[in-house]
Amino acid sequence: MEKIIEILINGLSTGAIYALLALGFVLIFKSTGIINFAQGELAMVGAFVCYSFAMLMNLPYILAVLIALVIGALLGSVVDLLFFRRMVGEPMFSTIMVTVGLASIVTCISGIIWGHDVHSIQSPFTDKTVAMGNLVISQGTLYTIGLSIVLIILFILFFNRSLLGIAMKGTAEDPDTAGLMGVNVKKVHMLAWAIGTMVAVLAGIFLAEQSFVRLSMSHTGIKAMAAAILGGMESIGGAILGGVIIGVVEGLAANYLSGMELGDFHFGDIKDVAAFAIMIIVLMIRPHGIFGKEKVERV
Amino acid sequence: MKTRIVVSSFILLGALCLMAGGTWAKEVRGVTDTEVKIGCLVDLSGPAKYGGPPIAQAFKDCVAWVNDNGGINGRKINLVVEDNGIMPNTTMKAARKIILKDGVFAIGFNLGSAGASAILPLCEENEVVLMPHGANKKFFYPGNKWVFVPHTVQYSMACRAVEYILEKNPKARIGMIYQDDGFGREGLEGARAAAKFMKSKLVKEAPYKMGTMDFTPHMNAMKEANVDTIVLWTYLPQSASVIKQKVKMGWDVTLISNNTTGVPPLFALVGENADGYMLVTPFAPVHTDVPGVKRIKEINKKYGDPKKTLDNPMYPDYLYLAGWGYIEAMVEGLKKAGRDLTPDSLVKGLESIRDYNMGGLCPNITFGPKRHVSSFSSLVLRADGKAKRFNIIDGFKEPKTPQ
Repeated sequence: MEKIIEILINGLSTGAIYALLALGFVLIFKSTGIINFAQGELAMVGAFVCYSFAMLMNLPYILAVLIALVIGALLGSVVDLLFFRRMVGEPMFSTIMVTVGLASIVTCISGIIWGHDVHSIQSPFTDKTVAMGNLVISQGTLYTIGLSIVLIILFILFFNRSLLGIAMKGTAEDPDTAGLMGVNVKKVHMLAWAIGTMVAVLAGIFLAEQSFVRLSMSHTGIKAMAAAILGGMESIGGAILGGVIIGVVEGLAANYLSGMELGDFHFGDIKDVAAFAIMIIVLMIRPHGIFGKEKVERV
Repeated sequence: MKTRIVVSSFILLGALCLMAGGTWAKEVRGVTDTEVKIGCLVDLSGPAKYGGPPIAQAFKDCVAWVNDNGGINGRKINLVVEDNGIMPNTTMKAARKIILKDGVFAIGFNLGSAGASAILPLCEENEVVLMPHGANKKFFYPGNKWVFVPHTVQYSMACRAVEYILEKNPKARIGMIYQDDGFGREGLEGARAAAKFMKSKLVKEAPYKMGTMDFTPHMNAMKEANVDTIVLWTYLPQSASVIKQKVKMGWDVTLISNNTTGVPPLFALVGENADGYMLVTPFAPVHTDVPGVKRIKEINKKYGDPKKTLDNPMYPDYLYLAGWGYIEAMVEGLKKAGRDLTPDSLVKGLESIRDYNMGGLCPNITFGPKRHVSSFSSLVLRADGKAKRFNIIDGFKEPKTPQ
């Protein structure tokens, strides 16, 4: 029983990071219609910025996180301004390829600035644990889960209750009509990129706390995209659920299936395979994801 | 008269042919009267680019020292270092360049076992001696005329790790986390073989894909299996992640790993939490006072850049030492091949090396006609978290498990 609880808690922690990254995907997609393949790279940049301020400049960890979030928001705005402002309304394949190119550029520049080594961030939670009977959980895990839940609730409220959130949803639905209704579409797009990047930066910092800061941490973006698709690309609740499902399934697969032997057949690491297999099965049953809705156009 | 001229012409032509034939027979790629070209293929741009510069530096230092001391059998070494990008396709490109364009006589180092497998047919076709570095057991067992491995391989190191644990505690419950590729699986095979030989077994095996950094599930699986020792066939970032996870779980489990993780950056990543982390390696730490290390430190001081290399506390020194093991084996093979240097004479020269003294830097080098691997021995080191260095806790020994 304790093992299952540990797997679930750790799966939730990993899932929370996927969920935050997936939330960034959904935020940008819902507002601008762009699927951002550079989300993982933006998370990696955020983690490196936090590392630079916390470890190289010895600023307090919380201050380093806040600076990284501000820089993340600025970076998102600049990305919108430089790359995507003129791409609005262009074919989806073109915008996707621009984000793929952006991912390569970001990785290359990060490699030049920070190098290809692995670095460690010391947060107030690093190496600290909470014991509950025989159950030992790291403070970092609990902090990731707790803060992610708070952020996710705030985002749900923002999109459903605030005027700006509703404007962002409306802009994604029909930018022309939203513009006619007085919504500043360009501003909304820039805001979506800024918030989406901030969320990615936070996910990157959580991820760095759990493992290390490194260029390859951007690969987590693919898992987060799978989470967003699994949940339904336009649903915030779906992104969260997708992230949690993938995190928990990975944990269960790694614990119970990886390394298993059936006769002479030796299973390797099937953690990633299991997560994507679940995504494929769900999409075969619900092609638009768990919370995704099929668009019906009136003719 | 006419007949005499015709006969003389034929004799002259025959003599010229013989002379020319003689000259052709003596022409060996990469060998002139004054120099011999040796190739070194290392990763300077790919995923293992951290490994290339220290190895290349060791080759450069050693070659400068050998040449300064008159070369080998009257020939200076002309070193050709080429970036192999570690991948099979990039390694093939680099090998083609140094063999077919630069015309090297032999390849004294190739980083990456997949790349070495890819270029092996090219080396065989062109009679090029190849010294591969990576997951190497397949390169000397069953063996290949042109391949020599001057290094204790992962299989032997894994055997040594498991035997060391079981000798200390025959009832140890050993689990293993390994990279799911040639490197990790060679370690797994060695660990399994040693456990079986010692009448024990690995109670849990957990593979991971290259690049994995979250070891929560793997460590949970180990804890669930109630292991008290985990053998890690991982690279540095993954070992650091496992140590971090161990601390997170508040679990006092013994960790023992391989040579690739025994570098100073481990302390930068996990600090004092590295304390007690053990590893098996064929290379002595550079702070040790053995003659072999002293010697290369002096050479590095004279021909290299010690501030950036051996005196730099973050330098991946084992790679530099590994480079020395390879180039010294090649130099000794060239010496033994004699002045009449051909691919066959180099093979014979290498095969005649017996117990070449490395001064405690790494195991002494021995090759033979039926043995193209230099050694099966390794040391066991233990991390001192406070001093941020590794200390020898068990000297050079061969595993008892059949190799």
